[in-house]
Formats: sequence, structure tokens, C-alpha cells
Amino acid sequence: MIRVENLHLHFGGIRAVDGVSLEIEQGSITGLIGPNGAGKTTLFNVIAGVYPPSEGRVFLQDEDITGLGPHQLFHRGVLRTAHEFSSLTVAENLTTVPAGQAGEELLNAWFRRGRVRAQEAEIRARAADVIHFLGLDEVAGERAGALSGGQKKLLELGRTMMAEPRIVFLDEVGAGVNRTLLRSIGDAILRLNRERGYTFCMIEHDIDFISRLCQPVIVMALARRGQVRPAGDRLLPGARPQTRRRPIMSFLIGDGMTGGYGDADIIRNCTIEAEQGEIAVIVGPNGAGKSTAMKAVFGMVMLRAGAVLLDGEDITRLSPQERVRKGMGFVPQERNVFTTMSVQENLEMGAYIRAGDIADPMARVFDLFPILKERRRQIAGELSGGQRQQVAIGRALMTEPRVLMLDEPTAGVSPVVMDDLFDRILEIRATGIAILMVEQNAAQALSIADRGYVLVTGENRHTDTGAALLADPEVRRSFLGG
Amino acid sequence: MTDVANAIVLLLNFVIVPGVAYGSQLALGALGVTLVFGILRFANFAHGDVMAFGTMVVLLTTWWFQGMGVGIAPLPTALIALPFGIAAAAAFNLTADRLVFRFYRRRKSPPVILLIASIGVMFALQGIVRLIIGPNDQRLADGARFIIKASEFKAATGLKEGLAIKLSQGLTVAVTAIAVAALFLFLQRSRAGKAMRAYSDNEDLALLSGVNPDRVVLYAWLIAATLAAVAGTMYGIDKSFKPFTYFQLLLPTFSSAILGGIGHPVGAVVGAFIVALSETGVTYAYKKFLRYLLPESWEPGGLVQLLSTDYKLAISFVILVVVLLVRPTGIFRGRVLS
Amino acid sequence: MRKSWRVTSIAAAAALCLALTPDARADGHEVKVGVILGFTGPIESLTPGMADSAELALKEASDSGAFLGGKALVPVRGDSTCTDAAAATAAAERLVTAEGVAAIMGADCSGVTIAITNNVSVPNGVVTISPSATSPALSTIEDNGLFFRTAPSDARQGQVLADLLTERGIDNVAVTYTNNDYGKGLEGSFADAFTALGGTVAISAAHEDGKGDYSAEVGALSASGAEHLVVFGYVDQGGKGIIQTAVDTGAFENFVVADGMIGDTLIEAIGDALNGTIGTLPGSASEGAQMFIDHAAANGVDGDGPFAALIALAMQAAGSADRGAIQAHVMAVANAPGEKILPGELAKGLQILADGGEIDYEGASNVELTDVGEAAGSYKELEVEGGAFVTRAIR
Repeated sequence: MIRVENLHLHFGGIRAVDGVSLEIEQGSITGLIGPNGAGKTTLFNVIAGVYPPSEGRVFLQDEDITGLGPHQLFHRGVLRTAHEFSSLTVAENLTTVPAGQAGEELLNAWFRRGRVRAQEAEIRARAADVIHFLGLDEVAGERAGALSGGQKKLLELGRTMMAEPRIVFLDEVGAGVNRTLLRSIGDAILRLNRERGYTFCMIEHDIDFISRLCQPVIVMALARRGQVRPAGDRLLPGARPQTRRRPIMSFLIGDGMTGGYGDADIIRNCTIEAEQGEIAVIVGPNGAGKSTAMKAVFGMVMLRAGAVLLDGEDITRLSPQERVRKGMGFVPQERNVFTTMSVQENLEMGAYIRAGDIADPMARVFDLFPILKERRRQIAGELSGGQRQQVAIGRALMTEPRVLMLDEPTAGVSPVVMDDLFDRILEIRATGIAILMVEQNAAQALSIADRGYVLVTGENRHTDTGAALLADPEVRRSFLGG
Repeated sequence: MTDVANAIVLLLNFVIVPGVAYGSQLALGALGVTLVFGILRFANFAHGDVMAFGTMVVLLTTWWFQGMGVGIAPLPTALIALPFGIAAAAAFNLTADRLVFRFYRRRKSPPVILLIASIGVMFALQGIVRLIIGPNDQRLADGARFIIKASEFKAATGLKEGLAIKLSQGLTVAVTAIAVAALFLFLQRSRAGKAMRAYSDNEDLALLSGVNPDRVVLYAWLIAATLAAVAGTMYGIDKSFKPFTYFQLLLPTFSSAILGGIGHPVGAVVGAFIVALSETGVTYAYKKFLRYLLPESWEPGGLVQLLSTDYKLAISFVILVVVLLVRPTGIFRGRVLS
Repeated sequence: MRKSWRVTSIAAAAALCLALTPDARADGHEVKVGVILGFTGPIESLTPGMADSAELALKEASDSGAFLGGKALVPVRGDSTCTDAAAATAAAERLVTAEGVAAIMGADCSGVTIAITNNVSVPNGVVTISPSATSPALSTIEDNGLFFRTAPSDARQGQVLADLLTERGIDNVAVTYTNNDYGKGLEGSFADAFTALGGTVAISAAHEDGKGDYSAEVGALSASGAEHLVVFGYVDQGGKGIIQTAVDTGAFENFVVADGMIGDTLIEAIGDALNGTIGTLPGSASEGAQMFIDHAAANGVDGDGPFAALIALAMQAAGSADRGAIQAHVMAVANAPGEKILPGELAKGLQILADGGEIDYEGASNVELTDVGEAAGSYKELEVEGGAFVTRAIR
């Protein structure tokens, strides 16, 4: 159905895609796997018309579609999942998808109201069907921006369905989604494939997910020579020297925090602590308020009750910027790098508040992430997801903070890169920094955590060491997928 | 061979030279618009009239200098009056920000509210300018008029066609080159410039990095005012100063910024030259040009003019509409104007 | 120069009004006359002088004591705006209904004059006499004989200009005109006349006034290959910009201009490059013109302006203030037979009319009305020589 011949794409001197040829059969669910930086997402973008290739051709059932733009491909039924319109509701998000709606033409809107109304009714019915299909009934009227990460993924899939495409490209539809939800997404994809004849091509990091759905699976090698660490040598908590001592009071405390963004409280009486030289991890199901709890510690959430203390000082009233000056570094989950600036400039911006020489902290960041040194002149927006995450962490480290807060640092990166990132986080811990992170990959995260917080509906459900939580059968059953 | 030379000179004289001079003026204007959009995230409709305001002050200062007999002949006196215009435009921008825009910014109003507020500021400023100097045409240029005169060029080359380059045109291009180079150096190299780029790229992250938003906004207004005053003055020296013309410049200015990708400085400059050369190129009648190049029997009967000069302004409008329809992010993938 | 001609025409128009309107509203001691000019708008700098000279004429007539047995003439001003037909119509409506004027002097610009004639003058049967509206359209307007003008139609100027060029052996020109009734009318009549004489108009393009940059327009004009550029525009507006750009870019070296372009500011702006430019301007070297100038100076009106004497003469001629009786009297006082009345001879004219005699009002510009009620007009043929307009001949 889709045939790719000897595709190349170069950004400046970087070869993002280097001579890829592959074929996607009609009716198949083709999986695309490979290490981070292999150019999987870039390949998708080239096929979907986001970038024109430097060399090579793409065919859709023998029609040469090389270089066509995304909207032209859309009309040929080639669809790449896109982000939702966050200010529209779930239902509106779905009804805006189908192309050629009669109401888009003003003349029709005036003179053929009947036809427009009929078509709109049909679209609404289809949207309702899709919402039901995906189990989104309860949130149909919510604004998409207010959905949890997993629900957004389902909405992405729903938008795809509304367009009734011939082939759908799914880019890490499972990233940042918990097991239960992942299973239902997988079911939906299988049903669409079997019952409605959709062809899928998907990038996925979750091997279980891939092996359950995909036939065939294509493995991409690194576009450029790189090193892949074996997954097995991850440092486990037990392997590190036991220098731990129990302090009287933690270095960073978010104590009894209650609050949210609007009228409704998202977190209730939630307490989070982090100690220097330790990793504290917040886990929990989708919509439990994990990110909100961390943002509350950083001053990005209106607190109605509770306090935040840093090294014994009450910082509850300080703005996030002021907390940065107090020595807190924060890495947001999304939009966490300056995409139009070079890697080096990103790091310079991280050190913006530091007067004087920044050569030392920059050298330390480059030691931690050697790839960034190599790519320091490259524009951050052109990096792969994992590299971008490194830039984001590096940027936060440039202020030489005493506390580093990471909001889902491994969302959307491959398992190999995830292991790598965890290793780096352990290295950072070794420098004596307090680390607080929110993680979707609960099991892995808890395995390196000194403390773990399991949140449910904005409240502390379980709090213990990472190892203890991993061992807790109830935690395992409810939150770690058995 | 002479025919080819004649044809090239003809095109240079009527399309390229005026187009490049006009493009330079637009580039300065579009840079201001794009910078304010990048930092403050709204389309500032008052920009054209800030150009008029700055130029008006330059004009008044020029008259004052002329009255005292101060000048830098053969260069236009307006050049030494320029700092006064820049100061006045900056003072205006900061006042408008303090009185109007800051209020909406603090309330986190959506961009469209700020855009409409800027239209209000625009009308107020139009009134101020007309109150002070009136709506009429004023001459800003003095000193020498030409770098190359058409008649001298003909005499020197022996060609049938003349090439005239006005001092004001050469000056415009030179001043624009200096201003653009200085701006890019500032944005790429200086700490404050990088902070502005970071703020434009990702406001939240810039705030987390400790960038002071008030400072960045202040710089944006100051730079926009400087660019506006320089653009307005160069336009005034090259053509003439008339407040309404400056308001009309708003459309090609926005076309340039959006064509290049709004929020993207390089895009603004490239967009400005495309818009300017389209305006001059599309409305030029190529009859004489073709007559030099084609055999006599092929001489075109009509004027070979794509669009009447009456529609000059419509060209930037068409460019604007087409860009918004086909590629709203512009050539360099700026933001989408909301 | 254009201004002086306008003012002359104004005075003539005022004089004609008065000639027709005695006793218009004769119940009282006063006779009101409307003066509608563009006191605001694009020609606002010209109108005060025009109004002053018109009002001077009215005052002379009143002061002579001979006007309708000692009645006074009172001017009532209205603003034509020159461009806004609705505003001009409203102003005229007010003068006719609220002020009860016997006749209207005005308006100035062709567009608003057409509007006033159609909407006010004809429905109310009020005579309108324009000093300066020159559009050919006014020659054929359905005015029931109520519209007169002391300025000649541009149809005539177009013809004169075409003759002039043909005589000089110029047979291929580029034409640009200001985009309004004046420019379009003049362009039309010129192109018709010139083509009929065997000439070619290589390109005819409108230009908008008030633009900063005319390089595109000049580029198109020069691409036509013609060597002479005919400009129908305004001296302080786009016309000057066009010539300036044409000289700057070397596109044209020979220019032909009509009345709207003739003024000293053009020569100041362009300089020596203008030498050899030819043009036409309504006017003549008549005896009346000099008398008018002397008389105006004596009365303290703008040096170019006054000929109040003419007005007084014309007033007396009428004898009846009835609006409806006006038409016939206009022609009678303006044209032969009768004793010729020159500027400054107002009292003499009034007396002749009071005694039942006939006059032929000449004024400063040899006013003769054609059968459609407009000045036949004579034109000066001008050429720029050594940095000044020099009169070559009268046509």
C-alpha cells in the first residue's frame, strides 16, 4: 500500500534518515521499532509530508506522493496522529475532523441549510459512535486540554477514526499511558483493523504492545553510529553505597497541600518530601494529580491549604521564578526546551540567572550527556525525543540547583533511552541533589526510588521506600499491572 | 548585446532599484511587527502610526535644525534628527504599554483583545499626529538627490536607457543593512537578545530560567520603536511624509511579516523583499523590456502589465490571504496569527 | 495662476447671480445669495480667496445704492466639501429652504456641483452658477437651463491641447490623469480630440492623489514607448509626484500639462528639467483682466482677486427677484448686445440697467456664455522657459 524507496533526510550535516526502504501491506498493522535516534519519528514525518525528503521516493498504491503536504495526503486518506485542539471539547475535537464538510463553504451554509444540517447530524452521530467506541462518554463535554495524558491518546485515535482513513500512522500512541488504558487502545486498533479494514503503521517502544498487535515488525538501525547500552546493567538501589541517614526534617517538603487550577481541588491534603542525595518518585493512575502535586511544590498551583518548605524556609508564597533563584530546578513534561535555539543556547538560558562564568556547569552537563557536547550547535527542535529530554534536564542543571524536579522525564522515549535517562538521574543524585520526579513507568521508577508516593484522586494512598512499594502486593495489583 | 544591457538597465531602474529600497523600508517595519508579536504575542496594528509619529518628530527636528542652519550636506538633515524620532517613538510605545497593553497583559487577555486594543491605540495616535502636524504631505529630504543620475548614466554608458539611483534609496538600503545586522547581532550574541529569543520561543520555560518578563517586554517595545522610527524616516526621505500613507504601509508590513513567518526575524526581512519586489514587478509594464529582447516581429501589442498600478496595494493583500490559506506559518514556519 | 483664474470666474459668477436675482425675496431690504464652496476639504486653501472676492462683489453692489433702488445683497455661505456629494447637497438644501436664497453661487468641484444641480437646483428651480466646475458632463446635464458656469468645459481644453500638440508635430503620447471627474473628463475629451486629429494615445492611466511613491505608475507610462507625457492632475498632488518621478528615473523629458498643473510650485519642485514643458490655462490677455487686478488691490482683497464693480452692474440688470425669471437674464447680461462692462465699472453697469439699457458683461475673462450656459473660454498656450511659464499665444 505504501512503498518507501531509499529515503534520505538530512538536517544540515545530520543524517536523520539514511537510506530507508520499506513496504507497508494493505490491511496490516506494521510495527516500527528501533533505538532512539534511529529516525523513526522523522521517517513518519517524511512519509506524512511534514518534511520533504532529501532523496528517495514514497508511493501510495503506485501513486508517487513524495513531497506532498500533510493536507494533500489527508485527502488521500493518509493520516498521522496529531495533537488535539486543547481549547475545544472532546466532541468538538471529533466533529472538526472530517474534510469537505458542507458547512465550511459559506454559500452552502446559506443556501443549503438542509443539506448542511443533515451532514452535521451525521457527523455528530459518528462522533458519538467514536466516543462510545473509545469509552470516552464521561468526558465528552470536557475541554481536551483538561484531559489526562491517557485520555488525550484516546482522543488522538478518535480524531483519526473520524477521518475514515486508508492508512493511519500512529506515533507512540502508548507513550505515557498506563497498562489498562494501553490494552483498550490495543483492542481498538485491532478492531479497526479487522472490522473496518484500516491499515496501521506504528512506532512503539512497548515490546509487549508491539508483539500483541503488529505483523510484520520492522527494526530500524541507528541512522548514525551510536552506542546502545544493554538494558541489563541498570543500577539498582541495592547496588549503591548505603550512605543514607534519616534526617529530622526533609530538605524539601510539600506539606498537606490542597489546591488546583480553578475552583475544584485536584490535590487534597497531599504531602510530598524529598531529601538531598535521594530520589523521590510520585506514581499513580491517570488523573491522580501526580503532575499537579509536583507543580504545587514548585509554586505553579494555587494552594488553598498547606505549605512548602525548602531547607527549613517557608517558600509557599514565592513565585516559580523566585523558587528557581532559591535553588530549585524544574523540567516540565512538555515544551521543555527552546526549540528554535541551539543546544548550547538552551544551556546558556538555563544559567540565565547566574552571573559570571558558566563554563563549569556547562562542562558538567556535557560530561553527563556527551551527545549534547557533540550536538551543541544543533537546533534543539531537530533533536530526537531522548536527546531533547537530555537538553531539558541539562538546562535545569545549569543553575546548579539543590532540588531537581522532573515531570515524566521518560514520556515518549524508547526503553533503551529510558534506562539511560534513569542512569543519568542516578548520577545526578550522586552529586547530592534532591530529586523529585513524576513517572508513568511506575515499576522502573520505583526501582530507583528512595521514596515513593502513590497518589489516587489527589490524595496520598501509599508512601514508603521504592523497594517497599514494589514489594507491596496491593500496590502491585492496583498500579503496576500485576 | 546593447539591447540586453538596455533591457537589464530598464528593469533595474523601474523594478529592482525602487523595489529594493521599498523592501528595505518594509523589512524594518516588518521586523518591528514580528518582534512585538514574538514577545507580546499580538499583532500590533499601531505600528504603522508609530512609524508616522517617529517620522513626524524627525521632521519637526529637521525643520528646527534647518532653521538653525545645522546640516550634514550632502546627506539629508533628517539623519541627525533621527535620534529624536527614535526617542519619541520609544516614549510613545512605553506610554502605550503602561496605559493600555500592560493592563491586558496582566489579565492574561487573549491575543485578540490586545490586537483590538492596539487598533484603539492606532486611532488615538492617528489623531495625535494629525493634531500636531496635520494630514498633509511634507517633504523630509534635503541635500543631494542622486548617487547616479539617469542622464549621466546614459552619457557614461552610451545606453539608451538610464539608471537613476537616488541618494535616499542608497541611504535606505545602507541604513537597513546596518539596522538589521545590529539587530541580529543583538539577538544572536547578547544575553538580553538570547533572553528575548527564549521568551519568544517558550514563555513558560523562559520564566523558569529566570528571564524577567518586564525587561524583555521593555526591550521589545524599545527595539520596535527604533525600527519604526528608522523605517518611517527612511520612507519619508525616499518618498514623502504623509500620515495616511504610513497607515497604508501597515498592510504590506503585515504581509511581509506573515509571509516570512510571524515571530521570525529572518522571515520578516525575506518576506519584505518578496512583497516589495512583487509590488513593483507585478505592476510593471514589460512592453519596452520585451521590445529590447524579442525580435521586432514579436513586439507585444499590449503593455504586458500583469496588474494595473491601481492594484498595487491589493498585491500585498493577495499575498496575505494566500499565505494564510496555504501556509499560515509562513516561509520560515513562524507562529500562526490568532 | 490657476487660482487667479478661479477667482476671476468666481466674481463673474457672483455678478451673474446678482444680475438675475434682484427682488428674489424682495419683501425686505435684503436679497440673500448663497455661496457654496469647499471651505473644508482638498481645496480648502483656495476657497477663502474665492469667497472673499465673491462677497466683495456683492458689497460693491450694495454700497452703490443703485441696486434695485437701494437694496442690500447678503451672502450666505455653505460648505460643499468638494468631495462629499451628500454634505454638499445638504448645505445647498439648507440655503434654498431655510435661508431662502435667490440664487446659488457654486459649487466649486465638478462632482459636488453635479450633485447640487440634480438634487437641489432643478427641483427648487434655483439658478446655480459655478465659477470653477469644468467637467464636460456638466455641459449635457439635465438642468432645465438652471445651471451656468463661468469656467469653460474641459471638453474645450482637451480640444485646445490636442490642437496644440498636433501643430507641434507630436503624435504619440502617454497620458496620466487624476482619478476624479476633472481628470477623467479632461482625459476623455483630450483623447477623443487627439485621436481624431490622427494622434496616438499609447497609454492612458489614472493616478491616485496623495501617494508617496509614483515609481510604478511612471514605470508603466514609460513602458508605452511614448516620449511625451501628458499630465492631467493637480500641481500640489499626484501630478507633481508623477513628473518628479519621471524626471528622477529619466523616464520622460517632455511634459504636457493642463490647467490644474500650472503653478509656480511645480517649477520650484522640478527645476530646469521642466523647461520646454507646454500647457494650457483658461484666460486671456484681455483689458478686463488687468482692470480686475488693479481694482482688487485697491479693495484689499488678495492681489489676484477683486472685480466687485462687475457684480454691481450685473445685479441691476435683473430687475426681478423671481427665481424662475433668472435663466433668460443670465444670457442677456453676459452676452452681446449691449455696452461692454469691464472690471471696476460696476456702478456704470447698474445705472445703464436701471435706465433700461443693455450691457454685455465682460469681466476679467471675456465672459461669453455658449447656448448651454457655460463660458466658451479662451486659453493661454504656455511654455516653460528659463524657469517660468511664458504665454505663447491665446487660443
